[in-house]
Amino acid sequence: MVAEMKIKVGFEGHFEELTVTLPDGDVPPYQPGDDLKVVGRSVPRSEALLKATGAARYSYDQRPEGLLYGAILRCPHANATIREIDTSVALAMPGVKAVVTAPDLFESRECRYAGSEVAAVCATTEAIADEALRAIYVDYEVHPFAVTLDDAMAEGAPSVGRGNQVNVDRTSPRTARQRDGSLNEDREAEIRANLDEQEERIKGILRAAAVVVSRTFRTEVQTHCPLEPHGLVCEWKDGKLIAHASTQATFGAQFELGRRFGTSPQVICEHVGGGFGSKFSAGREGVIGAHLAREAGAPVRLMLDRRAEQIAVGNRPDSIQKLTLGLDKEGKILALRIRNWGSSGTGMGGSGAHNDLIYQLGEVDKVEYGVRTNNGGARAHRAPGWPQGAFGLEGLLDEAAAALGIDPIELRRRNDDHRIRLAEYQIAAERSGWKEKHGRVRREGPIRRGIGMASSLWFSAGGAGAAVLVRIHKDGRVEVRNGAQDIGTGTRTVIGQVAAEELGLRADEVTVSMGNTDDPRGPASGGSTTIGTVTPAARLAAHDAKRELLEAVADRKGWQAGELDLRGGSVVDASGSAVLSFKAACALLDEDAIEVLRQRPTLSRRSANYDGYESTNAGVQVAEVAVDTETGEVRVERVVAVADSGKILNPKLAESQVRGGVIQGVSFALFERRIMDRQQGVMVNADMENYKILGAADCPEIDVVLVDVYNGRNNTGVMGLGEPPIVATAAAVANAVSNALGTRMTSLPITPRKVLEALGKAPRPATGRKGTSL
Amino acid sequence: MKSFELAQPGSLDAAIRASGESFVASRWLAGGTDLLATIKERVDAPERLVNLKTIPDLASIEVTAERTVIGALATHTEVAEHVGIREHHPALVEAILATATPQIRNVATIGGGLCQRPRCWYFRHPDYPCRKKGGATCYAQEGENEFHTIFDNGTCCAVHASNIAPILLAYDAVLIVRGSGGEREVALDDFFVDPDDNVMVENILAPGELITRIEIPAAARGWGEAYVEVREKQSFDWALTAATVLVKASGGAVEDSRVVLSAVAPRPLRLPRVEALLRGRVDEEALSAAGEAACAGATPLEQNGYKLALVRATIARAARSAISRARKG
Repeated sequence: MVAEMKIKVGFEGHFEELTVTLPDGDVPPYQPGDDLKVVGRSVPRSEALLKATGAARYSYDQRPEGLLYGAILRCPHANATIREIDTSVALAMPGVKAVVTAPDLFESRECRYAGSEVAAVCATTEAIADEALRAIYVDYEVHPFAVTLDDAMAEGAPSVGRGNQVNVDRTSPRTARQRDGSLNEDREAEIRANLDEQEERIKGILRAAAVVVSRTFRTEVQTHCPLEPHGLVCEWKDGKLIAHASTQATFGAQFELGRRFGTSPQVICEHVGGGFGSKFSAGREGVIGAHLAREAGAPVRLMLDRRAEQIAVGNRPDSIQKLTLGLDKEGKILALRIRNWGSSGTGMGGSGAHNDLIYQLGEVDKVEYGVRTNNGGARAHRAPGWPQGAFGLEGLLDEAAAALGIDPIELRRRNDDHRIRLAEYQIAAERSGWKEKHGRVRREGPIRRGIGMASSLWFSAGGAGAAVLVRIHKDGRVEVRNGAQDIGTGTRTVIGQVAAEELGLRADEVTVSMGNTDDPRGPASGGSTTIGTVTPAARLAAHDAKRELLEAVADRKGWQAGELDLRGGSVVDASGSAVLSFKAACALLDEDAIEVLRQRPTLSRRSANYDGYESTNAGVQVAEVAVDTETGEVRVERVVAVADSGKILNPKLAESQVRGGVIQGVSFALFERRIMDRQQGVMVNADMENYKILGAADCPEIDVVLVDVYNGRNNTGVMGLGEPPIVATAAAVANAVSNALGTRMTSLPITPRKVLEALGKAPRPATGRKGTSL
Repeated sequence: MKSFELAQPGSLDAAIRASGESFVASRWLAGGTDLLATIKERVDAPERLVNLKTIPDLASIEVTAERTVIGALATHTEVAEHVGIREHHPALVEAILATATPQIRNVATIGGGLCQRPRCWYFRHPDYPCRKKGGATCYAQEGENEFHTIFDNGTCCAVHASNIAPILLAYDAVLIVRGSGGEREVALDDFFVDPDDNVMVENILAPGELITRIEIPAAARGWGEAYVEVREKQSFDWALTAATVLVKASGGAVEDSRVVLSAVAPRPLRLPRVEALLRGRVDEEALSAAGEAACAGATPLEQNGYKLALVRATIARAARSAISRARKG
């Protein structure tokens, strides 16, 4: 195998040559013009029938013999300390098998949001478990609280944090705090001096800019709402924990539970009913479930109810973004000043709104603040930080384009050097009829139609940390195994396609097993990196298994292995003629099966992939909306979504990801928000009725255009596509509404109320509380 | 949720006996789409459910020259798909199709739709002892009240959520109510109870009483009718504000009209003063005046002032549409 080779990279109309060095033993990347039979085809999702018919077994569906039902008691107060907790009555109830308390398990008596765990029981029926929770006596010392950004940032707000933790703190660059929470004054002075200098420098640039636009944008908390709640069904067998966890990180959950219990469990999750970033951890519910099962000596199901699901297992943080952008008269961006605030609950970090990498933004002066509120903690949520950040920046870019009299797409082109995105602007403009539509708002009675666009960026080529086992059985069956989770994106299907391609088989002739930690290691299914991490290992393992099979065949038949290949279900000779069926070839094996385990090929410790072509996903979306100026109702009528993800291994599944991202993005733009009662600090819409999620009637026509990119970064060249398509959608929708109304929408979700307020038809409520220190 | 008994009577009399016997806290079970949710949410904890679906003939629909009679157990879907209803009561069909989801409409009954409990999130949350649950506070008054009432909200701010009540009110519908004492007729306008009178209930039904059918007189047939509702989502959402207008027109002039405003008050509001403005020659100016008049007396809360704009828009739209339909005959 050649170590160094020339490959073609780029995409239709934009190919170029690149010299790459292959890792030892790796196969070269797919190339344009390759005669691929399975890869790149719209093979149906392998478990589609199981899921559509209800035959797929989720964690929730596991019913081991003697199953007990767990339930968690949650604190009704937004901020409280448990003075006393008495579980004796609950424990004595018939049918109750075990009771645990949060102070015992987690060594804290603090309940810092309404919904935090207090105690848990398991019982022979759900009804008994529920009644037992009511029999637990808890005496709380109740403290003042703050549950909204405005309340927590207000002068004299109740302290949310522990000890001397402040409510509002700089998270990027991080405040120089020591372990005890006190400030390292010298270090902090140094950081501040740098920030001041940066601020002054950018002020200078902005003073000299031809156009300066400035706005404050706000977004609300979005919860994940997976259909299958968090939790597990678990049991202890001979001292080993077996956990059917609803997780997107089988090995992560294994590590976490293993560390907690001192013995490594088996984690199984064949299908997961949605995660969107919220299921990386076994969670408190996982720990509680495992404890209950151990104490009860029986299997326990501990799955959360919908209210807990909305409150206690993560969300996309809210944001306040104060942005100022300066440009020269040609539309070249000179500088961007960013100050943003967001709350990830009682903790800090992970609350930033991200947007400063998509375009060439000149000098960036960015400071992020975290805000502690008495809420359940944030978790990664499909492109964490990006949909909210893109909403702010893309809105400001449209303002700048209007001020300069430059077409919004043209303005972006002038500040973009991403080769794929530059072509995508063109495609998006043509598919949407941008030129005719953007210039004039179409009016029809009270309805105004507008159009808006936005871009995206993602980083999902994958990396080290996976191994794939390919097993070719003597009877012709082919198994491909990896223990990572298919979060629902179709990872299982494309792994099978990649292996089938090497073996000259149809996709349905290869069985892929995922979601079991007894199988070879895989990554957490997140960051849109699973496919790019696992498929190169699958391809290499299948390729090497093929070579072993062909050598065995050549040996038995007296042929030259080097002249043989597998194609169309047969062994073919040098002329391409079929000489033996795949099944007959397998039957020649001496042993029961060929087993090949391969690690994901990586270039070096430092860099998993070749430099390749573009190292990031681009993406451009155009949204068209109709706004009713009398009722404030907004309909998104059409979204053109141009997306790329390296080599498209399965167009149907890739398209499905783009549609899902657009749908969730429209939902974020128009509907979704957590509503906290400021009087009691409780989430009042912790359900799926008042927490509004887009339904079928709200779904726009979605025109997906996939750009197939040969990025030359590894042997499959694929990048993940779970997250990128949600980045631009809400921004494009908001820009379209602003275009229709002729006034900037600066707050998501765009509800009828907000549209009427923007049009001056409804009173604008006072924003913020007195003394809010923005 | 608390365990309960399920009674499965074979006749109305048996049902009424099952409901009334030995001071058991019982509830009627029809479609169950609201009742089961209130039990699961621990807003309600009945000891017995009396299933009405096992009783024959409660779901029939009859459209005759004199009246339309809808059995209380008819589902929303059955009503909306009935040929006679579609011919004579188009706004009822519009109101039904704007309700919930096809799955819910397939099981939720018309009687249940009229008797459903309010959707107020404080009422529905087990940890808020609001006035409707016997507590001393209406949490919506000073709290998160974007979706609450803008009329008559001095005691309780929960909206009457029914989509079908406003059009039935406009039709002058009469409810046939049955209890252990026999049958009585109740005009729909007399069915609702204002929070100032008794905040714990929404209607006059006594324990052990139920609606058996709804009668709509034929008088308003052939009028132009329209139901216009605004909501945040198009799929499965509650109305922010809705307007129902019936008009009788001859030539270019409106002879008579009926106007009901809903999702803004503890009951659907019949608005005679707006009806007075929708008579004679109704031009755009009159429509605006009607919308404005519909706002009179409103007491919006901190977060729901926008509903006034929706009242203006929906009243004008429903009236415009009803008049245009009346003219087309």
